Amino acid sequence: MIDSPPSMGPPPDPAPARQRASLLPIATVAVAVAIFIADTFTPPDCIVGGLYVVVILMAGRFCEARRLWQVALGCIGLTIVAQFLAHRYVLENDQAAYIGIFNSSVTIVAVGLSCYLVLRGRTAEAAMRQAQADLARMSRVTTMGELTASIAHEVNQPIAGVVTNAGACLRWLAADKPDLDKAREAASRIVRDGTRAAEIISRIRQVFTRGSPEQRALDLNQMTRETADLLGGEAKQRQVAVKMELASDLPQIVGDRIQLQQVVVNLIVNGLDAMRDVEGTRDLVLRSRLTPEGEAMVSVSDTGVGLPGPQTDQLFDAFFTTKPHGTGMGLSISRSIIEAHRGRLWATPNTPRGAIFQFVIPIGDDAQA
Amino acid sequence: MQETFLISVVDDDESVREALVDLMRSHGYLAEAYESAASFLDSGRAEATDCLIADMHMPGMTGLELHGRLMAEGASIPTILITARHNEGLRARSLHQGVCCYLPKPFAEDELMRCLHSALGDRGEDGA
Repeated sequence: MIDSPPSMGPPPDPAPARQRASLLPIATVAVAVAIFIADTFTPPDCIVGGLYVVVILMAGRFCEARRLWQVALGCIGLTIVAQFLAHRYVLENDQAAYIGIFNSSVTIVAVGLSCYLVLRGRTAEAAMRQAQADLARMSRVTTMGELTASIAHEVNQPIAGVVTNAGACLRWLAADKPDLDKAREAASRIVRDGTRAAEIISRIRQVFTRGSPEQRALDLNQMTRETADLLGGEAKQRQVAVKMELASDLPQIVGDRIQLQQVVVNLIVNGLDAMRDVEGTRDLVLRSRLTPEGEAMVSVSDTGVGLPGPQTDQLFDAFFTTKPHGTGMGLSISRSIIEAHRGRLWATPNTPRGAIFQFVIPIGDDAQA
Repeated sequence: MQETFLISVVDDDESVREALVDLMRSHGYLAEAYESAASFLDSGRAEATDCLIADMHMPGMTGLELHGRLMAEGASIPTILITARHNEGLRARSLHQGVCCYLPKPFAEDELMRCLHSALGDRGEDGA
């Protein structure tokens, strides 16, 4: 009923990829041996040793820097041994030996250089990936910043109206001869402006959940797995183990894939953030199951700082946040999305530590109706 | 005495515009509303205006540009600049350009009245 029990940890990788990974070192050694034999027995003016560059490139796929230099030293050693053996047993004259020594030197330089270049390329690649991640994070922050500014502006107008109208209303009432008609007019403008502020907020929510969701049959397990893959790098970097316990009998639901994925991304990122500063176990468990009520349920549990006690329900309010740089929009939008799918999203404490965020969505005919 | 002061309110936002005009009237001032800088300039009421309350961000001409334009024409009216998009740079720029008060929306009534009194007081001292 369940893909993998909790004790078994993350589900196994796709087998072919892993097999390929374990074959590569063997292939590399085989290539090195073949080059060594060819290098020993071919005439000295054939610079077969230059092919050791291939070994370096292959080893570069699976070796860290120190090991790669060891491989390079090994190749250089093999080149020298081959030169020695050829000189001793194969070559006829000294002139051939000189050519051999020259070619071996070229090989050694080529191996050293290629090793250096592979490692340098790797550093550049890491720097580029870091820069990309920084950029993505920054653009997200900027977008949220701009969004917040424009929301604040939109909402400030009617609120300024409310405050000023209330001031006017009080003054009309406080006059020596209270002007009730004027006060009534001001009060009804307060009602109008307050309503307008509320409408602006609900319009902003609609922008986030963008109209009516797309209605497609979709496999929540697959979507959850893909989302976890998407954030796997981030989790790994934060030393969080991501586990999945997905029910194999989970029926498809009907809904908007992108929106629901947004919800799962949000819940996972929240979970990772919650575990940022905790000591000890950092587990993120994604579960799915079919509830007795016939709803599909997905939950994300973490071993982080946990829920803010009595304020737990406020977590889902817009602009409420417990994070130093949070916008307070994530869970609010997530709940809107789930509710647009006629489902529910809520939070419960995890034991012994952390939080569980879960949502249910009705399945089958019910959802299609 | 107070009745003689005319406060012109220029704001493209209806809520704020109507509320300010009513608040000014509740304080006993004469008040007129304009939904853009252009409509205020076209009205020919600049001469008679004792204090201008102008919104910063309006289609066409901003409140600060309106203030600059009036100064350039020699019709310098004490101006209170109000804005829903507050930032410190704008505050500094406004005060530097001779706006007598800068108020981020939403503002408290007594804050506004303090600004208004100082705006009208300055003008009185100038002998107008």
